[in-house]
Amino acid sequence: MRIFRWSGIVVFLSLLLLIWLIATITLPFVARYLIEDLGTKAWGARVEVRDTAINWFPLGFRLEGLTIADKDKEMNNLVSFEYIDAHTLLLPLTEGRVVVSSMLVEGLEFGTQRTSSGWLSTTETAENAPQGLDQKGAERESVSDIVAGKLPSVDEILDREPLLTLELGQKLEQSWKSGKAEIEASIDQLPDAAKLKSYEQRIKEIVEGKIKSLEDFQTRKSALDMVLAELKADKQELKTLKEQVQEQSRLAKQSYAELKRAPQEDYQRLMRKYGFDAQGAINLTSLLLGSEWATYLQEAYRYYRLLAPMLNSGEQPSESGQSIQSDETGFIEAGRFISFAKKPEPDLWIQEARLTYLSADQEDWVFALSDLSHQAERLDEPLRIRLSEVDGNKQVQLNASLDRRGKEAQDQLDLSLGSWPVSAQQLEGQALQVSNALGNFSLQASRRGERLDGDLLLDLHDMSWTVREGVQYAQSLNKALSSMDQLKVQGELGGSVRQPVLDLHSDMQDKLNGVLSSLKDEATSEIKTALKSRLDAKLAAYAGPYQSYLSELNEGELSLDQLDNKLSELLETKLASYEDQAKEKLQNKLNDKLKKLF
Amino acid sequence: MFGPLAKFIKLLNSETADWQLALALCFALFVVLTPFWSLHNLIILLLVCLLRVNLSFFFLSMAVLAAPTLLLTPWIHSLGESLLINASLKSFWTDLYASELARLFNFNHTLVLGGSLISLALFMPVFFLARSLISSYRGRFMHWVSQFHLVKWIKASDWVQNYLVERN
Repeated sequence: MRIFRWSGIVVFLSLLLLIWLIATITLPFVARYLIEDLGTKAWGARVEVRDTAINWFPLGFRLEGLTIADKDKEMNNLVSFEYIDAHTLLLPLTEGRVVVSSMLVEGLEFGTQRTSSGWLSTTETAENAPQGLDQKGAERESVSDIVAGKLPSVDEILDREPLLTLELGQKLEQSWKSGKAEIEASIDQLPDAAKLKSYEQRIKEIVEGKIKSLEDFQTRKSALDMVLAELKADKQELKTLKEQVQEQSRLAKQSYAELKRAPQEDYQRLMRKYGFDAQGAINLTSLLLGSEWATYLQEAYRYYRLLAPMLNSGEQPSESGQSIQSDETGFIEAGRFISFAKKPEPDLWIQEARLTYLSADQEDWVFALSDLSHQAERLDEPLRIRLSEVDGNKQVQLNASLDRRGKEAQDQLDLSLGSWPVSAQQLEGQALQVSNALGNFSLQASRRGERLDGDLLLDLHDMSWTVREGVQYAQSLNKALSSMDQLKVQGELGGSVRQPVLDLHSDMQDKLNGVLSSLKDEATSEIKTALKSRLDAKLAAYAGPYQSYLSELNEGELSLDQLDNKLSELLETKLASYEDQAKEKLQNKLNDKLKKLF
Repeated sequence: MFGPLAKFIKLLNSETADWQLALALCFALFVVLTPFWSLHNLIILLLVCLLRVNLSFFFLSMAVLAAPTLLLTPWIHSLGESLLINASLKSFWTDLYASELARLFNFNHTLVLGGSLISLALFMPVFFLARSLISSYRGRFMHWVSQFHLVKWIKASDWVQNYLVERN
């Protein structure tokens, strides 16, 4: 009985070859699909790969043209890579985990343009917008415009700003027009002089002469009652109108008081916003060198805010070190791996990576990353990012660690730039440009939980300034700045992750403050005067018609009072005459009866 | 439906040695009781190719057994899990975990461990039982079964004849 079939080895090898061929052909497509589909779903914006390839010896993969869309900017990529070469470990792959022992990333770029939208139809973009620095940035932008030789004219300010003076003036005007129309309509309903005369005439006719009989008395009485009823109705209408006029008058007075205060409020608000006061000038000085740095800082912070939450899955390992599975039914069908390591290993772990980034001045910066995973709590080491580049005298050193292993986030950043040129190009758009300056910059920052701490130092030397053409008082400014060739800026980072606070203070502020405040005083005193007079003029434009309106109301009130008196007089006088006559008649009758008795 | 049945009858009635069929069944059982894409299945495949196991019966058994054994998955998982989380075995598993070779075989996967243990436990009993049944069938029942109308009808039908001719 022959047991072995040696030709079976050929069959076996053929089968292996077949499996290998199928895997080689299909795996790149599967990998591409998984990266694009799962990546897009997980990230919430488009993740795309131009091409994928599988390497067998050594085991790994290559991704070409990977782009991850920016959730905040529809036509921009958050990050893109020319290609990624990764070597993976076989053993974790058999357990369904991807451990990349080394990764080489070439052509790393941030914020590149897209040809099509990177958003998904249901993507909400506003939610993740970072706060704090962005708001600060927006504020700075508006102030920065003022510095950049664009001191706006009074007309520009008045045109672009919503003024309380205008708003209240328009409100008063509208209320005046509608109130006037209502009052005029009511006045038409009141008795005029002719009608009053006819009332007098009718009453006179009724009450004059002797009452001849009881029937005559009844007739006269009913006629008088009719006249009195008409008078009462007119009086009631008059009363309503008087109340209406009084209310209009009260409202007008109140609105006028508000309107009178409005120019002052507008003025103060504009002063605050456009920084024409001393504090504004100090703030502006920090912007002269800070805007470009602030942009870098904002971008870096934005990427940090995006990356940091992805480092921790929030999973709590059990005491035995075995990973906790929550999906009971899912893993029964597919089974599950039980780890006997001290800590369960991450499902995705990039042990070492080198990222080449082409900087703005076309230099390659090579970032070294270690221990990157979305399950940082399973790792022994925190994520570390290092960069060390020397180009001539220019140096950059970055050491950062993002530790998400514990309950509290603990991050550390140490950045230093040596002999870093601050070129005019970097400060393009500013009124003042620093040319030929060299800067040494260092930043030490740390995060414990939500709290931020840090120190910043910027030492600028060998500085020369240029003032852009078209800037007001350019000559005086140039002269004043020529003596300033060295500046130091110190900063303290504080606050929380959600609302970081960067407090800058420097001798730059002292030096520039004097120069700028005198220049600004010169430039802005004219504006202040013009602004005040224009606001007063705007007030006068509404106050003039108001005065006539108020006098109209007052006059109207006066004439209504006169009419009211006249009507009351008519009512009271005639009633009194009638009673007297009746009394007299009764008295006469009584006297006659008494005479007959005695 | 008739294809596998006809093939099965043909193989049972063929000159193939009973141990070759029984071994094919045992290896097939091993493959279907454990996750397919596992390293140990590559060894099973190597053994199936290298030993004079009947390949047709091996693949046929795999196809026939795949569906029913799926129903056993929860029990296989439970067995594997109970062994892997057993406190008294923890040091053993931890030592084994330190070996890269052992981890390559995914011993710490619940279905691999449970399925492998069941397959190993059943291997010899199934082998001898299958061999004995095949021998008995061939000695006592083959002639008798072939007299069944159904078998005659199946064997006589054009479709089966064509199928068997094509396959041969």
